Amino acid sequence: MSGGEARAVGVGSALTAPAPRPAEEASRLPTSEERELRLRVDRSSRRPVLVAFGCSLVALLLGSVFGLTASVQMHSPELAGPGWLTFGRVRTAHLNAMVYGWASLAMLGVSLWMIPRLVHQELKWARLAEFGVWIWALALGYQLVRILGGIPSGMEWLEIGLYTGDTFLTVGGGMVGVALLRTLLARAVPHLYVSVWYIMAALIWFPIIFITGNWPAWAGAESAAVNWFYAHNALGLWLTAINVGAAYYLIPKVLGRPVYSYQLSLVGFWTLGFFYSLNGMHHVIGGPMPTWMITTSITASVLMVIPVAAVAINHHMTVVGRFAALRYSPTLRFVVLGAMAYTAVSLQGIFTALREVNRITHFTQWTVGHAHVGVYAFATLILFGSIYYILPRVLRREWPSARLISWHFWLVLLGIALYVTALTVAGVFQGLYLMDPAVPFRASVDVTLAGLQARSVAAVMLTAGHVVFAWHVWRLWRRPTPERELAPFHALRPVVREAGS
Amino acid sequence: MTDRDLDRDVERMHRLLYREPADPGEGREPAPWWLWVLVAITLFWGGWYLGRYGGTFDASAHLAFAGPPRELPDERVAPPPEDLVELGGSLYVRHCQTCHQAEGEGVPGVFPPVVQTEWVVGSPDVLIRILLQGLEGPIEVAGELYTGFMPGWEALLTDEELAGVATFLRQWQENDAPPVAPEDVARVRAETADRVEPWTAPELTDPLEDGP
Repeated sequence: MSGGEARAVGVGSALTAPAPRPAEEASRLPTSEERELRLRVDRSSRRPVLVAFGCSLVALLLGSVFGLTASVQMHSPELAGPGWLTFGRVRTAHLNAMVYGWASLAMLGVSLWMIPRLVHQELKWARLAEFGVWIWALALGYQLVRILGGIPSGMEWLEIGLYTGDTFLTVGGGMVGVALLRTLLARAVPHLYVSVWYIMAALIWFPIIFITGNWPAWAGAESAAVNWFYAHNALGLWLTAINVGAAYYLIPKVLGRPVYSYQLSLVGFWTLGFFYSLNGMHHVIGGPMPTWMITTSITASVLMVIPVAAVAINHHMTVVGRFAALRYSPTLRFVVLGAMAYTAVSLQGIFTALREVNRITHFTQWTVGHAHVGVYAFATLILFGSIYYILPRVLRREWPSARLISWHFWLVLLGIALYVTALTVAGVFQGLYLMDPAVPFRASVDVTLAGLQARSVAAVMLTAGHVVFAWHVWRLWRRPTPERELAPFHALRPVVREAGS
Repeated sequence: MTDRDLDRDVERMHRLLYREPADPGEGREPAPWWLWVLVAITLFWGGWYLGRYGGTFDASAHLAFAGPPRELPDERVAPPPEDLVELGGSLYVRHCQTCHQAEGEGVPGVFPPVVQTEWVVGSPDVLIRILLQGLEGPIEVAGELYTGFMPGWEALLTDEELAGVATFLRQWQENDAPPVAPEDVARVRAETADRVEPWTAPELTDPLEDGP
């Protein structure tokens, strides 16, 4: 793409609406120029992407062990270990390892690879980005030790120490953001694809909410309001934005089709930013907040049906007729299921935000199940899919084993299905028992026991899946680039065209 | 070397890139009509819900300390519950159950049981005193010795609520003693107005023979 073309910002601008392309356009074979560009771009982002994925996998394994430990202690409290292994600390360490370690670092990796790809430009200031990822990862590692040592800040999702952790995360993440912004400014495409909107918006939204949430100026009920403003937007404007952006890129990319509708992309993006940012107060229904704050939040939560429907239609219509492709592409399998889970978790969240439902489900295991549909079935599955796509490209070699991919896929899929079912059912009974004054409190605890035990089984499956995945990544990393090989699942691929034929 | 030869060479080196299709484009399909219907319905619902439950966007109801107390219209004042036992039962779950347990069985050595004991079904004045100012130190209940501490509730619960708790206890499970009226609580509250510290068992048992 020559630099002489108009460079208006592309988000929703009618002037730069995408030129209509013939349907076959996307699935044609790439020209040698395009291939050369991809090679160059992938090489530029290679180091920071590898560092981010490597650190995120370490956090994933650590977080799995923490999660499993906390889960077992819920039904077998006699297994509590020494102080640093008690539930309150291990559960907190699990959350922080998974959200800030696994998900956030993997998302930084995805962003660092995807943005240069999408703007047809090498990653600028790559060393700065790599350094930023290191700062984030090391600061988080230190914070996990602090949490296990029993000195977290006392707010959910904000347990990381203000001066010893939050500052470093802000600076490290900021360095990645600046490098990507610099890359965006040097873009060689006239039109910004929808994934760019989501990812770049998330990189701007996240520092805003992260700094607001950690700003040491709030007290009392105010503090609870800011706490949930942050925690909900960490899901909505950070995890959701980047993972929806990744799905928007990977689904049509793997299928070689255009995204169904530019109009739906626009509706989905802008309404997400507008409504999601108001959602946080539905976490404090019944709390000491002005009624209008909570009502506004519930209203915005219900209006989330608009972006969710828009994105769901857009993704579904892109895949429709090609679901068989899920068989040969591990990326597509993970990403499509993740995108479906996004629709599911959003609808469940809307339902749960209603006062009538919330009074039953609040403070029960239902909430824990819901959180895992979001962070696991949606965000984590899409991140797995992204890593399956990105790692072979930055390492320039294929995944060694189709069987390991299958094991990983089925372990985590069945694991999360069991996890969510068990906690959701247990949560409903727990909530109903808590509401009934004729039922003793103890009964509301006993009724969750079976669900909590099933959850531990699920946690073992998920952890096993993560070990398989990490082992596979290790093998991919260690293997030499072979002279000639085929992608896993290649035999099942329905459309293969020979070059030059 | 022809272009095609070069292509073949590149292909061998970069198979991964080669089997990758071009970057996705964006289709120009319009959104389905029913999405706009859904948008209209949810926006309309949102407006109604905000109006109905928005509390007139007024924070003063939650900031009682910021201004003079407002007179609430009569219908907002909760009517007194008709059934003292029901009121007492819900208060028991909230305030008493933690120590005296769900079935009123207590905890051995610390919190005495509240069923089948003379302390509860005996003199209402003794029971009311315990509820008002609390009880401290060793106490013998149904042949067992308990050493614990119970806080008084005089500052927290009204006469009617305390009468509810007392009546509930006196008629709970196998207990079958006459109810306690709010007026009884008011009388004892006046009699013991000077009492600050919790009662001890001997203080209450000595006059138990002929009423305190």
